[in-house]
Order: sequence, then structure tokens, then C-alpha cells
Amino acid sequence: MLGADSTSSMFVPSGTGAGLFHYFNHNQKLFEVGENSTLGMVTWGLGGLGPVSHRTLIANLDDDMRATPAIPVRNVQDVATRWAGIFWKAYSAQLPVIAPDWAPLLAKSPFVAGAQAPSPQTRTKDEEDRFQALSRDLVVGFCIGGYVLPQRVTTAFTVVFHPNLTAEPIPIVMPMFQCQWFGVPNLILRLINGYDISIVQSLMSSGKWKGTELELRGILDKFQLAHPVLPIRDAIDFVYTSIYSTIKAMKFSTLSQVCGGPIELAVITSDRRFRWVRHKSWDSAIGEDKT
Amino acid sequence: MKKVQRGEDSRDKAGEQPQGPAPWIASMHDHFQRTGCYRADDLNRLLGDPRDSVAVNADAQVQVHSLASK
Repeated sequence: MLGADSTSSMFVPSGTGAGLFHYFNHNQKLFEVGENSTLGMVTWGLGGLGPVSHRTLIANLDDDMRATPAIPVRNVQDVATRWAGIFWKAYSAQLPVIAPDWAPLLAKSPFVAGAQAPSPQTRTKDEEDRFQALSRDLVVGFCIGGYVLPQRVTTAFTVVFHPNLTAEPIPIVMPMFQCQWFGVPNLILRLINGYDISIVQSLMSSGKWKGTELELRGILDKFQLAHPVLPIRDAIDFVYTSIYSTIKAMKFSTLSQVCGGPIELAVITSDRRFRWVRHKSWDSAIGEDKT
Repeated sequence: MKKVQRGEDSRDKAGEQPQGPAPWIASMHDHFQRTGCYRADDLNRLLGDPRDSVAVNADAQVQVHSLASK
């Protein structure tokens, strides 16, 4: 099961250092790898690499697998590894274009508050803020799932790219019967666990908790929502509900709506190829004006 | 015995609650108003680290029980 929202966030600078976020709610984050495929991919984070779209690179992956049959693709891990190489080549090449200030900022040492006569090789407060923002904004992740014939073994791998990497990342397998959420993890963490990481950190630093962090988590985790291994259609409902809940949490928290638009869902069962469960039509943005 | 009216009681309880948003939330909104964007620290605190994921394992034992009860 793969699912995603459709919002693309863009920061529009005003020229005075300020700016504003602008949102498009019909972006594509969920892809079939090729056509009539047994593989799908979902993405989060950075929405593109300047002139190179994720869509094009995913099509390149399919082309590459077809054009070089001598390099075996035996399973999803092989696909994910090949994807890591293809995307890393594009990502590392485009990084200086997308964020030309990243490398100079990375070369400097971290900002130190209250430092006497700071070195020019140390980031200023503004530079540190920019560095931290880029460290977050330039993250892009992918989850690749499905199976590779002749084996009908469904698996999924995640690959996460960020600007601190010096080489392509190694794909990480998702355990069977596990559900993972990416992009805006805290909101779903609150829903499932009843708390998020910040709450634990705040309690620990408050001085009012006398036990260890492990002990605190041990108590909190007793309230985690558990679910059984779900039938496939209920799993579809679960993924849909999770994304929907995140969208509504953003809406009612009065935060910027960085998660929204049509929810897209796809399923790859071991007996069939990639199938869309919900897929927005090409005129979905035109339909925004419908009442 | 002092008779506590409902309104008075709820005012007393309300008085124990923190007033307004936490200082860091007010600071976040102030920064957003001035710059049009959120600070990385605020987003990490609110939304989480985009490099991380939330993982939940299905409890296979639950299914075994439900099948056994049929």
C-alpha cells in the first residue's frame, strides 16, 4: 500500500528577505515505476530538482532497468539500490544550483551565541538559521515497494537524501506488517502514540520527571493504538485515514497547509500489478472551482 | 459552608490554566509574520524531522486471536 497527499509548497521571496508560502494542491507524489509495472514509489520532502522532475527520474529508472538487462534486478532491493544511484547523481549535481549558499555555509563552523569576536569561519545567527532551514528543506525521501518477477515477494525499501550526505544512501528495508509515515511525522505520531518526540523532550528537561527517558516512554507507550494485520481493503482505509487526519490536523491547528489536496492511493498485491485505488484525474485542479 | 456557584467554580479552574499560547508558539507566529516562513527549529518541533519516520507494527497476535474465534 502506498499513499500520499498532493500539496506542493513553494516559498516566494519578496526581495526584502521576507516572503510567503504558496501552495499547489494537485502535485504528484505517488508514481507507478514505468507502465504495467509491479513497482510503485512515493516521495516526500523536496518536490523536485529544479529542471529535473521526480517523474522524469523515475521514468529514467524504468528505462535504465530495461536498457541494461545485464545488470540483474532480482528484487526490490536491487531496484531501490539502482534508484539511489540515479537520484544521487541528479541530486548532488543540482544541489549547488538549487541552494548555492549550502556549500559555503556547510564549510563554516556552527554559530555560537554570545561568542566574543566570532571568527569569519563561524556562521552568524542569520547564516545558522539559513543553514538549519536548508538542512530541513533539502531533504527528499522515497519509498519503493512491490515485487520483481518471477518472485512474488512484496517488499518495500526507503531511501532518504539530505544535503549532508557525501555518497548515495543505502536503501533500508521496511519490515513486513509495518506501516510507516514520512514527511510530517509528528502529527501521526501524536495520533498513534498519544505523544510526540517534543513532548518527551519537554518533560525530560522540565526537571519534574525523576525517572529515565526509557521509563517515561515505557509508561507512554502503553497507550499506543495497536491494530492487527489488516485485510487489504481495511489497510487501504487505514492509510487513507492517516493521511486525511494529518491534513485535517494541519487545517485546524492554523498552521500553513503544507499537507493537503487529493489523497492518492495505490496497491500492489502479489497476484496483480500496480493498481491505483485513488488517482486524481488530469483535470482535478480545474475542478477546484466546483461547488 | 461556602456555596460555590457553577460560574465561580469554572472561573477558578480556568484561572489555573495557562493563558494564551506557549512563549515559543508566540515567537514562532511573530517570526512568521515578519518573514513569511517558519524557523527550522519550530517546524522540527511541530511537524518532526523529515528524515525520520513513524513506524507502527501490526500486531500479528491480534489476527491470530480473531481467526481463532471464528
